[in-house]
Amino acid sequence: MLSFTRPLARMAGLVQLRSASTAANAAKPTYTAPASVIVPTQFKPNTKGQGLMQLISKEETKRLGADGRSKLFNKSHQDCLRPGDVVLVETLNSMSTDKTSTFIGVLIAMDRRGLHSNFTVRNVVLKVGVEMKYMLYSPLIKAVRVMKKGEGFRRAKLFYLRDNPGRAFRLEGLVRQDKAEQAKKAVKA
Amino acid sequence: MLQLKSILNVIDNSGAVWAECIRVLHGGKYARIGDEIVVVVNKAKSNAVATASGIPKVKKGDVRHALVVRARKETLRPDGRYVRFDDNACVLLNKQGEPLGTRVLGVVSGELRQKRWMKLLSLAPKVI
Repeated sequence: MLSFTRPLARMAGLVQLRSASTAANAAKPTYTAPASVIVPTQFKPNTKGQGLMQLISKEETKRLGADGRSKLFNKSHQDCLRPGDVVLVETLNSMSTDKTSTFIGVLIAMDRRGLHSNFTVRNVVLKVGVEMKYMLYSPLIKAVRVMKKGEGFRRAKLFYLRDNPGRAFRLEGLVRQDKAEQAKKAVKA
Repeated sequence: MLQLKSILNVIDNSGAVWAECIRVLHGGKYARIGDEIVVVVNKAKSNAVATASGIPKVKKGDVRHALVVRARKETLRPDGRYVRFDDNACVLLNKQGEPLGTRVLGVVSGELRQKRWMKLLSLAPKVI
């Protein structure tokens, strides 16, 4: 009787059967995948109590967060982003180039949604407010650097800054400062 | 999402200050960044310089083509990013589809890179 509740487990079972039947081909040369292909180390993931989409989401979050970006959203980590921080986001222009564009601004919202976790950064550029919402796990995000820790912000979402910015968007000089710091790092390396 | 009666800031030096959208040229109801619209100029600067191609300066009540360059409605980029500006802004165009003014005063959206607005992008002081 067919069961549709654990498709991954069923597929894993099929893989085992296939390998058993090709015991005679053990002498054949083994195939090593290129570095860009991620080969799962265990063929039978733990599907107990999890739906397929949750499982895929968790695996992708782990894979894309391998460079340490998950700590930006992890409250128990000291490097966690907090609303009110002045943040500089460096984004690759496309997957095929190394050219980046930079956006600096105040972090006004963080949404924790697993793979779709996102954060909104706001700045006032040439007297016009601009908000950018970035997907945390986007492969186009090269770096997220905190230029200044936010102080005195007592809300999780700082949408009130749209009407009452106060002195929150006086961010001149921080981009220059970042460029200088990056140049220093490049010289050291 | 700009439609009939939407008011946009005009951010070039053609002389117009505000313009009201009267038609979205691609035929739909809403115009987004990068879409061409027809506008009627609601307010114009009285001391504006003549435009680049020698056409007399834009007056209040003129009906012109315009290009949406900033929108309050968040725009989705291919990598999942959203951009949103605090106002709706446009740049006036002539009949040939070229910018009417000679300068762009303000931020312009990077959405324009995908369409044929390279000249405008080079005029803009900042593209986000």
